[in-house]
Amino acid sequence: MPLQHLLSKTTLFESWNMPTSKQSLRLLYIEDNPDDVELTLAILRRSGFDPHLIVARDQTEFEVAFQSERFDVILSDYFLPDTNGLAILQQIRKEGSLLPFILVTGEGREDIADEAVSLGADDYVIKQYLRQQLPKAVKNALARVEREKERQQLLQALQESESRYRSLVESTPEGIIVVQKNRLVFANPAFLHMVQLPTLEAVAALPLSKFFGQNAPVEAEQQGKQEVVVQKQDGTPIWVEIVRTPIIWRGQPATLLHIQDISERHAREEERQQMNRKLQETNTELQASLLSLEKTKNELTEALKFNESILQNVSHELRTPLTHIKGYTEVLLEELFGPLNQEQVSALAIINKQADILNRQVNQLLAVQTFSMEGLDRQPVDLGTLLQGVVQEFQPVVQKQGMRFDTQIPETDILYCLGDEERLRESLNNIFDNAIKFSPDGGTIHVSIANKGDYFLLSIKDEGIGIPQEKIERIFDRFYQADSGMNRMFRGFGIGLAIAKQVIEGHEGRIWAESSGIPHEGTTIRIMLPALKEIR
Amino acid sequence: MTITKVLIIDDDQLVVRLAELIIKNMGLQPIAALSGKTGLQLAEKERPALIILDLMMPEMNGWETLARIRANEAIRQTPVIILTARVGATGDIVESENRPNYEAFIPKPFSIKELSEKINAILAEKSGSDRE
Repeated sequence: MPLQHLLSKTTLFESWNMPTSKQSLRLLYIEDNPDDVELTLAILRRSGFDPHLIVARDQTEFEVAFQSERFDVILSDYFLPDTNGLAILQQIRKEGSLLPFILVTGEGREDIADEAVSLGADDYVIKQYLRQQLPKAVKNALARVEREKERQQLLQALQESESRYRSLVESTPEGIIVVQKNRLVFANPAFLHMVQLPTLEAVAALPLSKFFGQNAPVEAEQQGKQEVVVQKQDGTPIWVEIVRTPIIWRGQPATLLHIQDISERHAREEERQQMNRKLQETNTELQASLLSLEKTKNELTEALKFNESILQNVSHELRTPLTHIKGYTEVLLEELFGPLNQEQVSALAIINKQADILNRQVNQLLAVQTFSMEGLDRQPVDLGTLLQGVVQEFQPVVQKQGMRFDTQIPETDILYCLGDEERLRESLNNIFDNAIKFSPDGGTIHVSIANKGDYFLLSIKDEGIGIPQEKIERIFDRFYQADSGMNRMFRGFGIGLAIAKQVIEGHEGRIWAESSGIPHEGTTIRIMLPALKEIR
Repeated sequence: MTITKVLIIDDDQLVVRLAELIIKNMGLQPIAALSGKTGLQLAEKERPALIILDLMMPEMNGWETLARIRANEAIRQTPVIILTARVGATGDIVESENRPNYEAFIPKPFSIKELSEKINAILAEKSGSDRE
């Protein structure tokens, strides 16, 4: 009810409101005299305020108003019906409010005024000089509040800022410490973690040399950076990078140190260096093996040259007796030493022929060792004619052994390739020799040539014992015969196919053997030779 | 009519005898030398129509002997058949640098037919050019 009363009264005053550009002022006025209230209002308005006034006439009304409204200033008369201004002031301050409080007293009661100030009043005004003193007192009180508010804001900002920095310092993985007069005065959790100690006190209790050793200068007058080893509590060393900055700490010069754990970086660096060392070692080893390879290569080249010269000499040595055998056999056959009977002639013919065979083998031995592509004399060669010629040459031998040829050589087709006719003929001779060698009596040797467009495919198939799969690749190796037991059975050095392979490959061709591996299914030698396009 | 002389120079006595048999059988007169040195002397003395020369000989080898033949005013025109076992795989002569020119080459081992045909061919050519 009393508040209602008050509010209606306020509304009444509201109608007197001055233009709103004036300073708004929410005022609680504890006063039982309505005349004083009106006078106060008038003074404030005239002084540039726009007062919103609530009047409390006694203790009860004061309490209701104070609890329910917000005010800028409290103005109180000293004399009140059931209390006084000082008691009101005490109550306000006791409740922790720092609202501006101005006491109004009569003249000559400066003792009360003094007490009011000591109890926390902002000011007091003498009732008789209300007009002169009140506006200034209100302004001062408001200014004080304003200043207070600003200070509060600053403080808060400061606190916020401080907490921001604190959280930075506390959450960074970098150790941050402050050293002053050779003592640790600050350490963040990261540093504590680094040295494995629980608190700043625990760290501060230990001499700095415990962590940084005797030689690491931890204080500095100038900013600097260095890498040092820091000892953990348990003595384990860790590599750190320290950045020092001279600062002022609590008014005294000190050094701020940023400590970064670089043990991982160091470990990586170490690893890298180790790797480099290993690489270098490997390199040295490699060079050593290169040198030894070079040496081996030179030795091999030497050996090869030696082999060649040996071969040259051996072939010469073989040819000399061959010259005698062949020469004197022929002299006998020519009957230079008198007439011969039929048996003598055929025996000498055999000797002569075998001497020829031996001579051819000596030549082949030399050929396989000294083959070079540059040595090929390549002209257009008709492979059909060449093959037919070889077949005819071998015809007597084959017939004699009760064998026969089965040939498929198209007579109309011209099968030109660019080749060294003599070397190709020699290669075919070797292959035919081989086929006959491994054919059973009464067997057939199948010879064919097919035009495949870009190349010709020659096939020479026997009906012999065949070649086991695991040995088929090796029959073109020098001196290789699939079964060493055959060496005794069949003549030859086993280099005929090796020569054929060299010659065919020297013609950009291919030669290979096919065999089911089943005895008496035979072996097929196939030759691929590139066709000569211009002439076709 | 004088018999045509053919000089054979080879350190291999068996080959020399063989050549003599073949040359004699051809109706020619063989002269034999077992070294390059003797060969040169005989060539100068006997003036053969043809020289058959081995390459691999001790002391003075065939090439050197040939060079001296070609350097000797008296016998430089004599045709020479090189006879050697020092041949490559295909029966070609193993070439040497700065070799003097020769008229023919027969690889060892050789056949009677091969040798006699070469001798006849060269002598026929020689008598042809002599007549001109």
